[in-house]
Amino acid sequence: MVELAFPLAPWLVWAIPMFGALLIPLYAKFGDKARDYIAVIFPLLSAISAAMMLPLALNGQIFHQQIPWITSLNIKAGVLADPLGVLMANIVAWISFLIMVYSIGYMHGDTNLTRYWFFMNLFIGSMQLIVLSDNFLQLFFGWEGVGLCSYALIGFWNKDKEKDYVGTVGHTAWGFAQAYSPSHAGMKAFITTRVGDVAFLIGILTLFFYSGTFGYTELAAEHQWAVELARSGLLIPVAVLIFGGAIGKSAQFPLHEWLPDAMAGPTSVSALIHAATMVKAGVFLVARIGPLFYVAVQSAQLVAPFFQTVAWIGAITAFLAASQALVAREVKKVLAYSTVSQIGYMMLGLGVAGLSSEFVGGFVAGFFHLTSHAIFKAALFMGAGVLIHATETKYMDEMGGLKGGMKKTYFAMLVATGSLAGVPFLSGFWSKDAILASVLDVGGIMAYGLFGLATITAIMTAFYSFRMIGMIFFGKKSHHLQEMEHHGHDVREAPTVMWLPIAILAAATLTIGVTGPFFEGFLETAFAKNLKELYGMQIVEHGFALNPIAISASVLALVIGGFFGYNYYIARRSDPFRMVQSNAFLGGMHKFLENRWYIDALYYKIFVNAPITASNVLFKGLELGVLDKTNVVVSKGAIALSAISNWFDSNVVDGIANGMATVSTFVSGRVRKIQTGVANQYVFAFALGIVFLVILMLILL
Amino acid sequence: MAVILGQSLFIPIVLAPIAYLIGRRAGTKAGWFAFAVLAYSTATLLFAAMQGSDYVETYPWQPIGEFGLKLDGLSLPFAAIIYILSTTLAVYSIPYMKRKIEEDFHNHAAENEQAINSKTGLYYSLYMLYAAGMLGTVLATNLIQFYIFFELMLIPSFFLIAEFGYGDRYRISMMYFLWTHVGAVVLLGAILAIGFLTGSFDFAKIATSTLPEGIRTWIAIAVSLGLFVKLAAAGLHVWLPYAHAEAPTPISALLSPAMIGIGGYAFIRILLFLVPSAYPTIAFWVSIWGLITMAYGGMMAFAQDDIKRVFAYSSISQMGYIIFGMASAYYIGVGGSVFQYVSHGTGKALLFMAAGAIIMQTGGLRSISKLGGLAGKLPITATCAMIGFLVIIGVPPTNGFQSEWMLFFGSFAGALQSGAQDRLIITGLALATTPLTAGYALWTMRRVFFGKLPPNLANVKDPSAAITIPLLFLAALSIILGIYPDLIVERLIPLLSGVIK
Amino acid sequence: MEPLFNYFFVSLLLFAIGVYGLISKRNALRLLFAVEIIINAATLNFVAFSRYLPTPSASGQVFVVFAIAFAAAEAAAGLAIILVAFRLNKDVDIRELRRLRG
Repeated sequence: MVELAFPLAPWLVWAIPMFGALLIPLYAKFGDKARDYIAVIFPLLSAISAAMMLPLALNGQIFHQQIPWITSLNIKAGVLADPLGVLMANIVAWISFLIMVYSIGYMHGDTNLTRYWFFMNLFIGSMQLIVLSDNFLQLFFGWEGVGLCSYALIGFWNKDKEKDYVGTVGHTAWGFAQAYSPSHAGMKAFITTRVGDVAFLIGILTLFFYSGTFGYTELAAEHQWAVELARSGLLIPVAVLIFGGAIGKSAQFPLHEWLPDAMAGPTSVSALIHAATMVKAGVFLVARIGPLFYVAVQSAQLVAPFFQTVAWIGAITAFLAASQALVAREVKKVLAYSTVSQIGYMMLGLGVAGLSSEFVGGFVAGFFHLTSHAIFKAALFMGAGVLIHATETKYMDEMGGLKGGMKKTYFAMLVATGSLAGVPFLSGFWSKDAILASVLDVGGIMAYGLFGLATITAIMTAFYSFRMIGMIFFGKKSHHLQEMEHHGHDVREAPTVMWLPIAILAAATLTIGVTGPFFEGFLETAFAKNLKELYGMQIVEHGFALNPIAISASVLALVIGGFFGYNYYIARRSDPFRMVQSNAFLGGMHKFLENRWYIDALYYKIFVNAPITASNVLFKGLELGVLDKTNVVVSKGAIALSAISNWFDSNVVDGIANGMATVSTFVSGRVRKIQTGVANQYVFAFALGIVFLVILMLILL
Repeated sequence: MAVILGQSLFIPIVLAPIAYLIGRRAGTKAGWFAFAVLAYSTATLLFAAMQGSDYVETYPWQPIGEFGLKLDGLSLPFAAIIYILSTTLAVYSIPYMKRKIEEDFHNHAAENEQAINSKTGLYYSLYMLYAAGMLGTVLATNLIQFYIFFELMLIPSFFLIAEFGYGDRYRISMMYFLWTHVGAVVLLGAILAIGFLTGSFDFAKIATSTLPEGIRTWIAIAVSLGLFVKLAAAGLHVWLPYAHAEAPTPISALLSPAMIGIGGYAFIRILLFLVPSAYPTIAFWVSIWGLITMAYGGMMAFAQDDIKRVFAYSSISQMGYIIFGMASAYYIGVGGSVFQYVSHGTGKALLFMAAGAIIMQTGGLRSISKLGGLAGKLPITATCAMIGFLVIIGVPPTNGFQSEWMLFFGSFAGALQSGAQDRLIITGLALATTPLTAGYALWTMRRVFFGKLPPNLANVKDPSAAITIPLLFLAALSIILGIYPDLIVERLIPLLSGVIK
Repeated sequence: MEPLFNYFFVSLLLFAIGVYGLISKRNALRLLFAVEIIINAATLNFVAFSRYLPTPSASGQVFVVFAIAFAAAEAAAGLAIILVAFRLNKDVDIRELRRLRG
């Protein structure tokens, strides 16, 4: 392990934003503007600290430091700055900083900004804690921390005004409303991710039992725990359970329904949390545990089911979400579904990494796509925010023809969307291609199945990307926009503080795109060293190579999807709306996809309505019906018993006492008649008595 | 031998009548007096705790044995929470009870001033007795002494509910008293059996002797039944929602977090330390009972409209966690149970205090369907309530998370160690019911604090400092213990690992 | 000497007369007389028996002297009570003075 130029950097990266969050009540007193600028300085400092660790990554070195924490259980806290951690930390830090700057413009005028800055800073700190922790328990602190901040920020506009709802009010599926208020959406996010977190917790607790530690380096060094887990048949369950946390946090199937509704939060929040950082936490977790499980067992066969699970869930989610993006009306929802879909690609990459004989290929592909996606998706969300502000609507069909009036936004979003769709020489092209290539490298029927799903998804991705650009920027201005301009609200370009971050990110995506092969090569070198040193893997690097099948597939997908997208939405040669209305099959498909494959409604039926109904029934039936009645019966019985005892006491016991008194009074009443008060009679009695005594004496003597 | 623990236990008892007298003259000053006395007692308690290792004071008490006060790794968390909560809630009571007692006199404050003052004094004197009674149970080193304090904490609380409660308070306080008393009598039976079979009531002597085979199970069952009435395990819980909902809120905040957990303490002390031979026979059934309680309490919490009843059922569910952890037969699990008592203590106290703040500021509203959107009007209350909910759900960095992971881990470890499949499944099921807690907690949070503000609540604002400062204090404590749990478990874990294999 | 019985018979007779008087007379004064008669009977007894002792002594006669003195005192007290009773009730008929009864 290595010496750092600035040894505190890994700690500061997460500590500074948290500190900044705690201090908010203090500097909020300096006035709104000061507060806003100070709040943004903390992420900047954090990003600088992260940047100071870059030399480590460039040299493939690892820095690890621990301090005592829960001494009675021998658990230590610590930071692990390996290339994976350092690169991820930088991505998170710099994108977070840009989004914070953007927020100054986007959230301007909101009355609750203190709360906003608090949670944003706390979020950034928690996210970095996830990235730089060296053990699962500490990671879990950050994990739940981002969950909490996500809950608070999704539900930020907690007065639940109807304009803040996500979805269209009145739209129902199977009787369940498909529009959610911010506080509801926040709750949904928290509870859904909690399910994943419970699985995660079970996984790491079991791991703790078998290995006695939560720390990655300890787990990587000594493999006895894996052997024993495998022997008890618990190896795959534990790995999948830990993956469960990733499924929840990264909104993969089956825990994917919270992310589209998280769009109820401010767009800057969506950009930061639900595009660039928090949802990547799951991918990061898989990147951490993947090598661990891969290397801990002697035979790769033992762990294969786990990686297959990861890969398939990734592919299925990618397909599922992309299909829903095809028909979404809100611009943020398209981006949300797109995020879920692209994360599916990342999981696919990491999954196939464990299935191939050389781990590093898929690993690099997954991480490359993570970087790529973070950059362009953050840019897209920020652009969406600008659009929503400018057009005062969240629906794409109420926009249109904005190409002329918002040139900067148009250009930046075009670049970012191109990256998403996989246009050559943009970063998304290289990263998506890398994933497809690593899938093919695995070989076998399963790989072809995965490849097929991924390619179809790529077609859909191209289609909805073009659709989005077309609906927003091309064609005529919508009725809504015309109304707006009629009332004097012109559509204007965003202020500098908002479009500059977008432009920077668009430029980044372009740069990485142009230097694609070199970037990928660099990642491979860095990660190869990482995996070798930290996990003891034997890696053979083979540099950057193009897989012709993969390249042709992705270009073909782009062309097919792009063709239809361009046709319908940019050149406007046919009207998709009328196509869907007239054709029953298409209409049905549209409804099915719009209602999210009815999965959301199904979840509400099973997990919300059923428990609440069951609780109410149980409450009325058991608690009120049986137990309360029993309580009443028992207490009535007790009272009756005491009434009997009371009767006994009043009548029998008291009766005896009173009776004795009555009898004595009666007797004495009779007897006292002897006392007449007449002296003569007393004397007479005397005399009689004496006579009697004398006779007695005479008899006895 | 310095009388330190003796002070912390007896000074409140001895000075309770003085609180009444002060109350008669000066009304709410009695509250500050009670706070000062309890603060001092807490300080002496913590001073004794800092002496390093176990701290014991004994006094001879023939012929029952010895009257001892022992502060070891197990009793410290309980004692600390009991007294810290009592002290904090004494401050909280001051504005709250002033309002409540005045309301009871239908706001004819001027005419009834003397009566109000007397009642206030009575409240604080009963309060001090109650706090000391609770402390006595966890410091006892003798079974009869324990039982005496066990009953002793029952009587002031009975009067507190009867005199100062809401709703049908006489009947409810009577029900509370009878239920708990019946449980205590069953426990007494077991205590007497243990005493006669082992020849002594002193803990030290009992621990070194064993119980005969046949009666062991019966004693374990009797102890469990008796204590589970106190812990409000499912089936024996019927009294709790009534008592907690209708008690005056500061007392609810002591009943639920501090008092019912003492059942857990006694369970651990008696069945794990004194007669460990009896423990394995019932551990499995206790864990199932804990699971049922967890789920049942959580489900019932969904169906409530009264905010205090939600918290009452939530307490039942949390006690289920404690019961579950106690049955884990693994030292970290039992340690987690004890820690869960601490977490639930701070968290539920926060929640009840927040509920009380809402009741005070909205003029008596308790029905969730009539509340909403209060986060904007009561920001400090809302924040502390959120932290309280996070503790209950078990989210880091609150102490709720630390306690939860420890007790579930203990259960897993116990199951894995003994190789029992069914215990593993039960633990899995138990963890699967934790989202229930998240569900009702966040749902309640949402319905009370978020959403639309009813028009009649437009003038509500945050309560006075005497209420918000205790709230903030407990919130801070929850987070500190969440980040640095060693404060609680440092001595607990080694103690337990020595007793449980 | 004459047999003791003679004297005894006389005192007995006197005693009987006295008792008869106590029983049947209404007037309180007459009751007093009766009591005097009874006392005399008793004193007569005393004298007689003291003379007929194996060693005759004068203790009986001494006793009589005492008894007469006591009788006088008692008669005075009795008369005083009757006098006051007469003043209050205008009647000395003891059959009418019967308020101390059960």
